[in-house]
Amino acid sequence: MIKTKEDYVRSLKEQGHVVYYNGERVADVTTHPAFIPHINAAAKTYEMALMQEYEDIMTATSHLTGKKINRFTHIHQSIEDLIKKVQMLRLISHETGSCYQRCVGFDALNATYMTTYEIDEKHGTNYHARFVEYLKMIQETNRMVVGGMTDVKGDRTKAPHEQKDPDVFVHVAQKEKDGVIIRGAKAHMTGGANSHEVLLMPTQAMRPGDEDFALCCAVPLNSKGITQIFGRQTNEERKFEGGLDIGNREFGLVGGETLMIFEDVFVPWERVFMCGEIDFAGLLVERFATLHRQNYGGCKGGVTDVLVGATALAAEYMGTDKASHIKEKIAEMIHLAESVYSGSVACSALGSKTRSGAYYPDPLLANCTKHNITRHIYEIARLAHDVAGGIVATMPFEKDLRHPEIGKYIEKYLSGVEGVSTENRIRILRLIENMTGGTALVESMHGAGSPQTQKVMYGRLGKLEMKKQMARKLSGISN
Amino acid sequence: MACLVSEMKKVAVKFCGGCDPTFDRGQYWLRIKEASGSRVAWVSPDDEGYDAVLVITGCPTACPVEYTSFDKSSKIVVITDEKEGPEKIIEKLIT
Repeated sequence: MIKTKEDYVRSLKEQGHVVYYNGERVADVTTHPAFIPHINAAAKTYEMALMQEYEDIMTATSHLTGKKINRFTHIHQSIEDLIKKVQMLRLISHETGSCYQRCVGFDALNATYMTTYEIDEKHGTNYHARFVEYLKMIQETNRMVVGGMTDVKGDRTKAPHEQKDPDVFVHVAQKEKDGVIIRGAKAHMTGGANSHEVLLMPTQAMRPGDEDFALCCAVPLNSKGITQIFGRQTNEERKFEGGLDIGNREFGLVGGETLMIFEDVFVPWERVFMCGEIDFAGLLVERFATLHRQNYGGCKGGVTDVLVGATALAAEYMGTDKASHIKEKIAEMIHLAESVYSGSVACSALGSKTRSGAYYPDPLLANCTKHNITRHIYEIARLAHDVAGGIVATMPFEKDLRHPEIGKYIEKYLSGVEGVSTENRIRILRLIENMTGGTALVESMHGAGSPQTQKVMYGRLGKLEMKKQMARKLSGISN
Repeated sequence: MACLVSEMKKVAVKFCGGCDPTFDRGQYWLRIKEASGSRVAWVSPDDEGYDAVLVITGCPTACPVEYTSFDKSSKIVVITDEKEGPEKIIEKLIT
């Protein structure tokens, strides 16, 4: 069982999965500077679960075995569980200031659990029993699971079965006696390079003809035929420098995403949880999306707490913290953070029990929560830049600060208030830069689905006819 | 020595999850633990037969009080901030 950070790192070192970085095969992700920050962040989900002062949130009791488990492998059994999930995400964000990746697999486990139950009810299949066995293994071993949803999709005007190259959607290429052979690729696989398993799900609702693409299955990431290619991030080269210019010394900028390719990968039947049931593909997508959108006020709320602190310190270090407009901007950042957090808590508090017994957040509120993130995180970053000043974008290198000849100029001309070192001022400004630039913002926009996917849900869940009826009644329209 | 051990109070410590605490709960507990010296034997809430429970929560919501079942015969002291000094907390626990 993986318990400690050391266990986790060792397990990654030993599994021998195929990862490419900047044109080269990575021999060991655990010693490669590009991956260490992401591994450190994911490792927090293991480390904090062992700490007395966090166990109330970080662990849960398995409804399958009665054993104490890491909450990231738990199936929500109550409203309290849904709320604790959000609290846990905010909590870990305070430690990492960035994504720790493991919520995606957590949400995939929950979505698959509740949906397989209903597939079996309708079709008489035995996916749920298979999945329960898989889940027991995950809970017992504490392996890290990637939620694999987003297909690369090729020509967006065409259904999966109409694509010229069917590999643009992960699909069953061949059925065999013992399992299936799958092909295709999943994009934006958060934590893929430092996980153990991927739980694949369809990317969208399916129509007749798409049966081969209505696929849900779990695959170990060291399986033959899986290749991952790591995505380049903003200021990627700073990971290799190891100095203060990186901003966040220990943890990643975002989750660390890969393009995950499946080239004739064999999946045994006991790991297949949907195979051709097109009538449930949309439901599985919707459930995963809702569970994942539930998170964002928790994790981004927590990340924002760190950013608020950094912004307040940046002001303090240059002596602007008492200015009324600065106080007002910090207050606005806090307001936005608590607003997004309250959305996540609200959709959890109004969650409901599914037929499987697992609990599910309110989907309309969960979608609103994520939609707010696509806006508010940009506004929060804007306020941070406003308060911190243009220096965030124009600071010289750390090497200049350390230089025997010109270091004195950096010390002198980047100094702020008395009693605060120039180096500390630079450190906090670099943290702001790290948390508000490029990749970090785009992740808030598109992670868990782009804004339009949330708007589509408003059309379906927004009860527009009921709202029209309210207006008719008040205005005296009788028909 | 046997006498000293028998006078020791068994106190279970229970933390909330710490989602958004207003103070450093871990540090505060270390101060209490240090101040308690040999007067308190600190145990887990999963153990049996403790005299009191110290519930350290990061905010007034105090989640564990709502969601955790403690030994009903034991005294429960709930902390939601760090305003009181460690000695005062220890007094509440052992008297």
